[in-house]
Amino acid sequence: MAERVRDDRPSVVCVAGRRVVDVLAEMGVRTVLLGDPTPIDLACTVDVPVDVDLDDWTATEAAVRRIHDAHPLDAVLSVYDSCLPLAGYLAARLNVAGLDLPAAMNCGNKLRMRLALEGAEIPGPAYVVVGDPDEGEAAAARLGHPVVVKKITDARGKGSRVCRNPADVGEAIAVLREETSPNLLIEEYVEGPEYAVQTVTTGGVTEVVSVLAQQTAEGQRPVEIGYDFPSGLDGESLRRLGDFVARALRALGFGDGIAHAQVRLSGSAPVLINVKPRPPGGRLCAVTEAVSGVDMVRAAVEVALGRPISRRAPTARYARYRCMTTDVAGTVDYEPVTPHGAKGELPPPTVAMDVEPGDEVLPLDHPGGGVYGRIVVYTESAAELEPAYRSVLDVLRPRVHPSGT
Amino acid sequence: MTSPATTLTSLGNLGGSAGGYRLELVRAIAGLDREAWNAVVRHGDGTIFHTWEWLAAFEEAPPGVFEAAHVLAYSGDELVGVCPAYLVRRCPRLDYAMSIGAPPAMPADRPFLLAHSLAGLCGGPVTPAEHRNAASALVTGLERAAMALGAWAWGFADIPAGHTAGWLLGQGYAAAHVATAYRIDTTHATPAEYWNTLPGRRRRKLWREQRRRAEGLVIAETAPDTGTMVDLTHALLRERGTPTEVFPVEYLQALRRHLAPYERTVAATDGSGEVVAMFAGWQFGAEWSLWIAGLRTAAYASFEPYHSMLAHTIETAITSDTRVLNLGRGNAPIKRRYGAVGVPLFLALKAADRRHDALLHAWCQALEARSQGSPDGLEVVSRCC
Repeated sequence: MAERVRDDRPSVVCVAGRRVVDVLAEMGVRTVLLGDPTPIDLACTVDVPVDVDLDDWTATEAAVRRIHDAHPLDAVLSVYDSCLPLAGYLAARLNVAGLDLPAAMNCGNKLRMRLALEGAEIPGPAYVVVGDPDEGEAAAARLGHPVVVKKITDARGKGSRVCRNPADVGEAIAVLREETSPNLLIEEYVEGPEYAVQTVTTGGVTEVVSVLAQQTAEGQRPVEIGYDFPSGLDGESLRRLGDFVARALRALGFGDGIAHAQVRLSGSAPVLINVKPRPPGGRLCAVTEAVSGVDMVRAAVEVALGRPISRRAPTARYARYRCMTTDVAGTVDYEPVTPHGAKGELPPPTVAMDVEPGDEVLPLDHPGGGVYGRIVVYTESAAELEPAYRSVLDVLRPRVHPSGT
Repeated sequence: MTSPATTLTSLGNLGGSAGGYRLELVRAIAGLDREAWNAVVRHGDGTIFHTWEWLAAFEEAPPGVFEAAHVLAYSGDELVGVCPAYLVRRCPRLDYAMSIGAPPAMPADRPFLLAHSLAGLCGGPVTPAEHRNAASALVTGLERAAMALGAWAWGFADIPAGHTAGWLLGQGYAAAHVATAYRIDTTHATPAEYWNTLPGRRRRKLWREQRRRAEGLVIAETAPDTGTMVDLTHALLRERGTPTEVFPVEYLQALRRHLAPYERTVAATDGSGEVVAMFAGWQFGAEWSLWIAGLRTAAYASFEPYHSMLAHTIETAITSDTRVLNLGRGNAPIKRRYGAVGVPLFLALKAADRRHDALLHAWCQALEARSQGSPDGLEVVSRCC
């Protein structure tokens, strides 16, 4: 008679995509994947796929609890903004490891984030909650232009607009306001350089993994369009920035987890612009791994399982990351080639296009516009960055033919 | 109200101090020194809803079943902080909130300890600036009181967006933005200066509305008799489909009697001398809070007198010692047109167990989704005041 083998692997329930599933498999973790529905390719990969309505927390808890009762789960994990509160809820209800639910709730709501920071006496921009254009224009006048109009929840990267005059405010409110979620946040605009700070927090202690100088579009939509490593900050400034982010994460209720924070230096005073308790998006995870040796996705799993964070030696001393955007609506074109040129231990340049040649693209300030591609290059010296970047651009030759021409 | 004897129960055996402040749990407001309590409220920028008198009325004729459980903070023998609170056994407003998305696993038969009532426009601890740290001591006291009294969860009702609400969020409280109170700064030198802050076109339109809709009515700050106040209030509640149990007759009578020293009510009287509409309000310190509206709905189905009453109230506030006019919840679009600024009000809740906290977070998320989807917040116009 065949002997039944006991499965002693750690067990994680997650709402995630291919990258997380692959990392969990590499780490030998038994994976329960929740989806609505779970993609067929991932469902075939994981140990237990579960199709469930992720908006119905009670039903999701019941489904996960049945699995937990049969084979106890060790942690709950998500890397999707919309599912972070659910992951925190499930972790709390099952009383297993996972992102702290208060942190998930505070980071997912810009008003709560501002309030929690205010409650911890961490300075930030003045703000007002408004419900209609008249109120918004009056609030912006009181705060003084420019201001930033923000969705309070459910932004998905398209929820903020910089407004430099009353007409901009009215337009922003018209674009961002929804009947089911009419309230918006209007904040003072914070001038100054911006930094992306990646962190790992365990037992309430936060370690800064990487700091990159962030370039932000100067139009109405403050979209991230580039990053540079090193950040250009000196050691003392980096230390102060790290301390500030650690304090902010504590104020938001972080106990264990990873985070991607965006901080502006207004004068020398840091101001938290946003924070997400998940790995950074785009190619920032790969850049962070190259310059710090820490894989943020793996780190998220390790924190959840209470393991030490894996570290490799950094493979790049310099990185330049640029996003492709357009000022005009049109048809995109580029040479679909894979760049070469990895040297030694350096990671090869990366080109990641979200569109095919011939696809329509919209300007960045358009509500439907955004980043349509990314280039990342790594070098051993600052002097090599521009030539390395230029050589990729020369091969790719991205261009937009304006509509109607 | 199930009101225990008027005794002070020391929290001594529960760890009677926090942050250097001695804490006490008080099971009725009546036995406390009115002047000392109100002095803390006044110096701590508290509102009429924190005053001894408001609480006395609430305890005399409560709109539900509540047990007083006020937490007090002392520095030496000096009272330096108050956190009015009630162990809620039954409350129409809380019951309604529970009916919106409370997870099935939340127990329906265990009380909440709430500081202090969804009825007020402002809740939470009150401390003077020089004893700001007493606020966190009071929160600790509330948590200890909840354990001692067998509450399933504890928290704060209608706590305004600001430092304390933010501190609670950082402490892991589940929170829902359940309503918005609309406030007007009335520190203008003259009414004309106030009107000039509004865009010209809107200002002229509002003036036209006031003239046209209030024809034949006399608007004045006056105090209608209690019977009229009750009739008008209940007529409006019925018109909005709200159970009148949120404002029982006895409760309104007790409020009227206890809060008489602070009353500032604006009423509209028709040609026959009948009061047909009123904004019942009270001023404490520099804040004038309009809390209850009433209307002869059979005659004024479109709320005709309200524009003129609002304009009159604003101008009266400007020409008196009022610095802030709190117009309360509901009717947001009209209040915004007069330049009122919304202040989010939160329900913030916590439990002793992480698993129970998660249920509170889920409930608050559902409450907030409902509240945000309605121009009047958590349907406060129809359910509350």
